[in-house]
Amino acid sequence: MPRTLLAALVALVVGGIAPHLASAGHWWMNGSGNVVHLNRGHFPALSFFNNATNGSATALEHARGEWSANFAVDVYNVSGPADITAWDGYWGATGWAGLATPVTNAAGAGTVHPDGHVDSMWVQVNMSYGVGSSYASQKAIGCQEIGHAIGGQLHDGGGCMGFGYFNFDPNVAAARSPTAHDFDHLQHLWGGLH
Amino acid sequence: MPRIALLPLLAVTALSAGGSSVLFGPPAEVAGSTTPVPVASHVTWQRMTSFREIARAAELVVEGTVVGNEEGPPITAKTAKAAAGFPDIPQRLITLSVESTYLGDAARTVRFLHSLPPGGTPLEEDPAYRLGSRELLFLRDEGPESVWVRTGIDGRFPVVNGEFQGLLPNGPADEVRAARGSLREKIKEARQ
Repeated sequence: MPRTLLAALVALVVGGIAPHLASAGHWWMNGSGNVVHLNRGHFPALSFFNNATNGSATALEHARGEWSANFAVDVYNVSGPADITAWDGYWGATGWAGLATPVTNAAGAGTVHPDGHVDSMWVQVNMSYGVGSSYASQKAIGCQEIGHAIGGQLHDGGGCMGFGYFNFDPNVAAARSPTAHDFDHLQHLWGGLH
Repeated sequence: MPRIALLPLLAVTALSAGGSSVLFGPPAEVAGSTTPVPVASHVTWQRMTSFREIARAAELVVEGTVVGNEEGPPITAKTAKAAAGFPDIPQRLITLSVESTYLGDAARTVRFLHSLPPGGTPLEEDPAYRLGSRELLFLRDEGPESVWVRTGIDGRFPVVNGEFQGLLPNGPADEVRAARGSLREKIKEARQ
């Protein structure tokens, strides 16, 4: 390891990055007080099946690529059953434009194992709203929901994890992408699990 | 930072946390049950963040008490045109006993749909409608015959201790509270 990199690592750890990130932690919890998460070890590769057939597949692929390119965990494409499956459809005036839903094989959608782990995650984009005609909205929604599926949480940092809560314009590029805070958060999450 | 460089950083960070249990707060083992338990989905909401938006989107605005909450027609995968393998999405059919009408002509009771996520666990920010609870609702005529839908999550205001509550940050709740007492006039004004 180059000496400069080693020095940087030591400085980060000793200098207090860990407490900083710990205080920023806000996880997706189940009713038992456990973190909801895919069960793939410390530094996993997560398979992703882009099963969107109504027009948002490109935006979802771009969102997947951004998380994967900057995250310590691969989120790689497959064409069948996967850790994360993305769907789109015309679900009507539900109120939601996107969802991330935990799935256990034993009990189906909307369930987690008691220790918080899930067997897979579903990501949905509701094309009934204005998102149907807007790549920007699809990307912001896809980014947030994939972010949730891999463990990200909402925050007011200007990125996609605050879209629809703290920022509302998908035409602002930052609203369609993760932030550095998101990657820090996820690295702590995955580093701490199992 | 290249991924290969992140891995040792993560490893060192994890070790510095003494096995991570304190720093990272990993899931605790739950003794006993192994039966999966319900958990709410996470959501990106379709927002209407101003009073003007919800007032213009609504066709009926009513305040009243929830007197019915029953299984409604699901949103089928076929209707949604979702890829094969996706399940129907459940909905609840809610009946409200109307006490005040601020826009439109309401019958004594109004029925509207409450969509749930796959699996049917209500979303944390849009909880189930409890019988006896009071709600202010901005509704649209987009449901099946004689059944309304809300103008999104920003069209729902639970009434708690006589005050309208918003369900999400940065919504129109403050404006709606400010319009209390002249809501009918404010809605009319916003729609012009």
